[in-house]
Amino acid sequence: MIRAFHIYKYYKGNISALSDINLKIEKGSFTFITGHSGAGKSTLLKLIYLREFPSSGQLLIEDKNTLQLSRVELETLRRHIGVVFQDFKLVPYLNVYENVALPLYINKEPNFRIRQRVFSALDYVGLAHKTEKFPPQLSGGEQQRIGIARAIVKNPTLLVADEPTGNLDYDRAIEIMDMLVDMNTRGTTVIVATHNIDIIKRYNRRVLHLRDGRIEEK
Amino acid sequence: MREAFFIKRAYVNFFRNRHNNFSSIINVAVVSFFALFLLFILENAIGFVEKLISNNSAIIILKVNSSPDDEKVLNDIIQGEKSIESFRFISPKEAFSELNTAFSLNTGSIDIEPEKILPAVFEIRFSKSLNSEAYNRFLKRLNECNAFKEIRINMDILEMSFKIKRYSIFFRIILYIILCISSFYILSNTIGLNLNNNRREEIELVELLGGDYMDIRIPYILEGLLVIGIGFGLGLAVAVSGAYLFIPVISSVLSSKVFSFSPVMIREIDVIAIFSILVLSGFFGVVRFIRRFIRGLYEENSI
Repeated sequence: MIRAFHIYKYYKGNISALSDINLKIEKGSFTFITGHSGAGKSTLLKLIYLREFPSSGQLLIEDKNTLQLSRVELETLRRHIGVVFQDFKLVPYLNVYENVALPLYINKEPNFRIRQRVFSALDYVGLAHKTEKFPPQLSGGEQQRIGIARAIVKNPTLLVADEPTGNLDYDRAIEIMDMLVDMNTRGTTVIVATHNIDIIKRYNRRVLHLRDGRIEEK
Repeated sequence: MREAFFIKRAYVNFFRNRHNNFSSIINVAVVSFFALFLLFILENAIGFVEKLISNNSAIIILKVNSSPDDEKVLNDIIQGEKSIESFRFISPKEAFSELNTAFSLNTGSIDIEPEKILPAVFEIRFSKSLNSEAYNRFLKRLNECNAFKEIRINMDILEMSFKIKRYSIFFRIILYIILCISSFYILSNTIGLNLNNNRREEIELVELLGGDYMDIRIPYILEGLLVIGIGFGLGLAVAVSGAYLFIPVISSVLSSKVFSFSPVMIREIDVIAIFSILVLSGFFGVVRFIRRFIRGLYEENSI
């Protein structure tokens, strides 16, 4: 699913974020990426969900080198990746239904399928009764569940979550993590970045530990 | 559904950024007003000169004792000339009779043969389509004709009309270029100002969800069109009102007891041309800005 060979990532000012990253993530696996703040978790995830690109090295997603993608290939690959953000990134003036439907509008799906899939995704996260609400009217946990619904509504092959429980209390965090694990049991490859040790211990999955931009597998 | 979604994004953001959009609407309105009003003045200047030419008909004087065949050749040339609206042949006898009538002369007892002392003439009236090329071509053909002696016309007015028409084309081109640049930068800057953090995140989100350039641009293009549409509407309303107020003034200044001039209103073709230019260049302004913005998303920090 994902293979990385000697990946380096630098930012302006020659700041090194990732150094010599080599990894292989199998299709259908569940992987935690952990490490202290500034260790490079978010940078690595940004490379995986194609928000940024490596400064050097090769990153293959679904056997495609991310540095050699055309604009159309990039758009197509992004449509196969679901992303859950720590700060939810919901569009505040769109209601719950429209926020979840956003990826399907972009995929140019027919209206009947959009409706079907949005309700199915909202049902899955238990918020089918709140379609008309706007994000500011929802609690943090509910907003994150909407974020998950938006990520899974297009049936992604890869689900990437960047600190999905960072802004939630423990109970809400467990609810969200249960959903991500459930998605994994349905065949979706899931990668979660978190520094919450309790959650990592609770779910007992593969853990990639990042320290100063380098991977230490546990 | 998808279309409604784009329209909603444009509509909501238009009102969220109403302060920036309002100042852009005023800018577009001012630019549209000046463009329309300048063209209104220009059209009336050209119309006035055309009226002067049309009122100052030319006289083509034939050689005395020209043969009927030569007169016919000249007649055919005049008849075939597109830039002549109407013409009249005046024979020496008719001219003599008109002179007698005009000056109340009694020449009945005098033995005069008008053909020997007066030339025949053609009185011609040029059409509005006359330009310097057509006039010179016509003059060349007249010179090739045996019966032709000279043409009498107010050359100052004719040359003035040619100059004004020539300069009016340059003026229009320059005006349209200024409009293109203004509209391009007004919309480009408006969208730039409207790209606050929320909207930057929205663009980033649509990008990450696999949206293509159009998915990102359409709401901004619609928002830009709304700014242009309202701004142009305001500019047009003010320009038309101004033109209505100006028409009696122009009419009274440029008319006398023997000469009347009816000013023309702002032409529909100018309205359509200016609106199209504003929309097209505004469209490219938005498209270019968003493309640069998306490129910047990846280049701002990374190396």
